[in-house]
Amino acid sequence: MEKRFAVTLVLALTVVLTAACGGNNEGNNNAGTATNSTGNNATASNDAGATNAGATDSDAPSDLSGTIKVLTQRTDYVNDGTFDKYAAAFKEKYPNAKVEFEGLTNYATDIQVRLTTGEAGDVLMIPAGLATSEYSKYFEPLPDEWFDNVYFADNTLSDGKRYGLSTGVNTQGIVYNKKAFAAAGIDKVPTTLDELYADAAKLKAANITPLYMNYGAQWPMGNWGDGSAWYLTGDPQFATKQVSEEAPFQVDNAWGTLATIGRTFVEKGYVEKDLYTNNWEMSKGEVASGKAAMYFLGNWVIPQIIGAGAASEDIGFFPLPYDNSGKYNAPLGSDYFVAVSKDSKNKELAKAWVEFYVKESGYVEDSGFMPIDKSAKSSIPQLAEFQALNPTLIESEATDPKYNEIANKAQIGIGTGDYVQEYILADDLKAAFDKLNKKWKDAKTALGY
Amino acid sequence: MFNFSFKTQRYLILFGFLTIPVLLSLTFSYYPAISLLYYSLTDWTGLGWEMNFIGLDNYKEIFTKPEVFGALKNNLYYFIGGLVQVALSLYFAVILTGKLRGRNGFRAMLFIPYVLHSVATVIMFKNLYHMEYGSLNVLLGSIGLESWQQSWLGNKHLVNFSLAFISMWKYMGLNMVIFIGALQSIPSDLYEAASIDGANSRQKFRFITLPSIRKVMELMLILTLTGALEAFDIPYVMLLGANDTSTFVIKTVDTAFKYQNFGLASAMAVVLLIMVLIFIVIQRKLLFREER
Repeated sequence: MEKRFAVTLVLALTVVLTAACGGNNEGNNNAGTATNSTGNNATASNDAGATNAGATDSDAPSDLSGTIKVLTQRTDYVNDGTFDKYAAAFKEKYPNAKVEFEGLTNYATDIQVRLTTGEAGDVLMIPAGLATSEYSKYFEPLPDEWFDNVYFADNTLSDGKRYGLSTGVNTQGIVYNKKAFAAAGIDKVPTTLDELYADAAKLKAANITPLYMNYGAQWPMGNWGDGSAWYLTGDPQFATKQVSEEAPFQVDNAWGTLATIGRTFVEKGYVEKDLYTNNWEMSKGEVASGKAAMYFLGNWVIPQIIGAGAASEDIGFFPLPYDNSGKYNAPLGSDYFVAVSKDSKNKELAKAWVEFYVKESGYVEDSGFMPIDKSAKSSIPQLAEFQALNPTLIESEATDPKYNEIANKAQIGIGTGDYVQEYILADDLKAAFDKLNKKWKDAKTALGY
Repeated sequence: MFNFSFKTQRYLILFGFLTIPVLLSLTFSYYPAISLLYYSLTDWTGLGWEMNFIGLDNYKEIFTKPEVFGALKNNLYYFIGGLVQVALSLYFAVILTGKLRGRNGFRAMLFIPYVLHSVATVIMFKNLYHMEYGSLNVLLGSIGLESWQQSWLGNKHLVNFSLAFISMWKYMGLNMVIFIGALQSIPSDLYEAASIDGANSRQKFRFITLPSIRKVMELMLILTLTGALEAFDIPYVMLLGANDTSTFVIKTVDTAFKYQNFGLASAMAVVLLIMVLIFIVIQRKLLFREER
């Protein structure tokens, strides 16, 4: 009897460990990228893609041939035929080429297994957790001339070679519904923190949820922590500097500023009532219809709100006013970097696809990102509104891998929002930060950094 | 056709039939189990195949970090829920083996939750527990019990009970069916003889039913305990372990996939296995020892 149980248990445990591989990152994917349906926007901005293609050099059809397989996190674009359109446009340039797509629902976790087992296709997105020093094992270096005047050119730099091209530039701020603001009698966007609180109070009085925080979904909470703290300080190396600090979490630094704003919203009831249920899909409908007014997320969410039924002209976007100075920083972050697999049999064709995909296909605009070309202006009205408010844009830089190592060792989930959930609702912020500091210090000591 | 001796034939048949199941279990249970043991002695991150052998460091870390075992207190809720579940399922099983009109219908109704997938169950309960739109609060409101309305998942003192209740609701049907099976195997002449001797139904339950299903009770207790220790799907899908609902397995899975420390997670899985084995041994040696 005992033996039988032992065997079943071992089996059950291993199954639990492997099975969890699939289910783990449900939310996370959404965080960095717009994995969910973007609906009608895809067709709406297709012309943008066409103009883009015209702008860049359109050389004569090439005789590169073969079949390449592209792994992507955008299962929605695989299913709604957007990728097929890109592939058709690609085929006009390269008549002998064939492009196949495979969408991975849990890209962030699944790709790690694929890389380990050598089934990573020809073109893929670089997983965020992979250290740059590992890139040369899995990816093919890309030509340097692609990176002139391009954002995040050096993020994938390792030993003098660049391995990935950014697939779009993200920023972050408050996405709001203009109709909801009008219904609450707000005629201009808040430019100081006090104005933001006052507007939230007006929205609450008008029976509108001022800010849909999506506490229950967990990943959006990262924005009240590691997702934003670095650009508040204006220092792209903020995270790297933390490696040498013993107690990075302080009430009076950027962590505390963000936590205090988040906590104020929760305390005053300016957020959704049921915090603990994951209502992410539902919340998009509420912001689209004006039942909820704001999101504190990246610009990638804009096409999704429009997809959930809002008219594009009703949705606006402004930088988070995190204090009363009237002068704010906003981040520039990269979406996934696209790379060519080292095991690819058609490297030239794969490279051609990468360049076409980022620079000509229209993918960047379709997804609601800013162009990676530094001189190009975004044609998306919300991003134009955002830029008109003149935030200081801080370009994110690669951080020291030691930062992630310490965080993982301390079990502080950078990018997952789990620890932020705790301190946003903690009775005492100072005590919650002290706990995190202790974990941080212990991990740092254990790793010997 | 072949002129093998009886002994050879016996061996041939034995090996012939055993090869496939043994191979299968070697591939799918023993090999992963041994790999798990090996990984638990390394610092593998789960990416690539680079790993360093670090001896028992992972185990040291588990036993020196209080928060790892702290998660077990959340498993306790599932164990309590499991005990209630065993009692309830026995109650329903006794009722539904008696002569009751429509008992097959009731049995099916109570069993169906077990057939539903956990994720579907959790989505259902999300709609039940939701603070604003949830049917539970709406029901309480409509019958005038507004003061009983709760944030079922937000209230720190309630949330683990809410989650344990889901698990109880889901698994009670299975326990009941096992009990019904056991009850039906008790020969009815025992009951008839007892009736002739003047036993009432409570006495019959105490002196005939309970002793006859003791083996099954034992199994149930072990299943309840291991089930409670392995509680994972319901709290994970519902809250991702937020609001202090992380169970030991959630901690293990997070360690492996969120914090990229497969070595430590494997060690945690091994520790869980050992814990389960210890509990089973204690249960069998102490609680049921008079049998030996």
